[in-house]
Amino acid sequence: MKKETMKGLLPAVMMFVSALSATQPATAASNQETQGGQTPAVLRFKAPTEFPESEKLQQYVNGVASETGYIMRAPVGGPHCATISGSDGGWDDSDCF
Amino acid sequence: MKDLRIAIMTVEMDLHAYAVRKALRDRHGAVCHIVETDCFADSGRLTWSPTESFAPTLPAREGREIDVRSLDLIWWRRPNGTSWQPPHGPKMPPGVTDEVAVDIIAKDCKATFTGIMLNEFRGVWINNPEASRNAENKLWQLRAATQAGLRVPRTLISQDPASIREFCRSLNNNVIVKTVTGTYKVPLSPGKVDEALLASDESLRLSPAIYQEKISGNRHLRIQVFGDQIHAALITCDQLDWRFYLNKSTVEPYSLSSDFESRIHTVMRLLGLRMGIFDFKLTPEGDPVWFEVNPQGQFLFIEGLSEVKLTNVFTDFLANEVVGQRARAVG
Repeated sequence: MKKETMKGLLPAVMMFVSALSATQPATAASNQETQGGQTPAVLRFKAPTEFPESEKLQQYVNGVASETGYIMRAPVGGPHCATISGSDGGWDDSDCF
Repeated sequence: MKDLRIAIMTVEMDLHAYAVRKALRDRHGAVCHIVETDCFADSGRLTWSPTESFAPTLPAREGREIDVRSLDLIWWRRPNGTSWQPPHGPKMPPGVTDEVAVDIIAKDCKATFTGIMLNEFRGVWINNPEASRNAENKLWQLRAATQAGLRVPRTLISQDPASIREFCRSLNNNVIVKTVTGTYKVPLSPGKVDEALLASDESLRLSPAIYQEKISGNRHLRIQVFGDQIHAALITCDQLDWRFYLNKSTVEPYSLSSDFESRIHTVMRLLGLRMGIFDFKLTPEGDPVWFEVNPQGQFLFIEGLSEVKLTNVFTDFLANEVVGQRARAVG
């Protein structure tokens, strides 16, 4: 992509801050360093990587999608999962405030 | 209903939004827009002015533009612009790659959207944004459940290793640990506390977690509350967390006692919610024990597995909320 085009896609207020921000370290990297790679207790319990749904639920979802014009997308991290944050399934219960 | 105008604030590819929009159109003749809050960048449709010289507008699906003042009701479902697909942020045009540009675009879109809604919308919120945000907080909702007289598991939320060990040992380590908020980055499951977990000061101190008395049994309740209506489902599953094992679960309608329903309504009132999806677990004796409320929880999978027509129930609830507001405005 041409430089001019890229510039055109930056919001107007950006013109004043890009040079300053380029020198700031990434927050995630800093945290990783200061915590020495430790993780909180809850991260020991990662969910199963696959969430098999019943055929009945799959049929229901396909039916709703067909009736409503919803285009089923290819699952990113495995099949849809009921209500689990991080499942990439679109069924998460919360908005993760 | 005459001239019913509704908008669903959600994110791209939300099956619930599509199902509810169709039912609103079919059952109530409503005009229903889906606003995808992760797709504001480059939409060219977010506009507001303190004078009336420009209409306050939002972008809706299919390239439509909504004047916020024309809406009767907003389903405040997923307003944060957090996409369900990695990298779990607002969508950007392919040419926007600068990290700072992405940050500014995301924040300015979100702040403008929020400001337009707070300034201009005068209809019914489902749910009120502030109430919904507060009710998501597990500490806040645990207090409300306790105040309503519901049975709550013995609970500690802490990052103090000494307090955590004392609490767990008081329950012979029959304790579940789970996250206070969750993350889109990786799916997490509640887990059983053991000595290895309790031995790591570093791990315990990093962040608070919910330590909670483990409730035995295999019967779980998923309770949909839409205004005055309550529709409960019994989920039977031998696993600790049924969400991962829906293929091994049975789901069926379940009747609640009037006293229990009354306490649920008390929680809703204390939290300022009009809709909420509750999770309980039944003890072997049949007593419901509180787990959580999701102010904007999912319910289509319950419909799919139990055949209770929750989509219709929900859309009728939305329409009735507008009827109620119009009646109050006239009266």
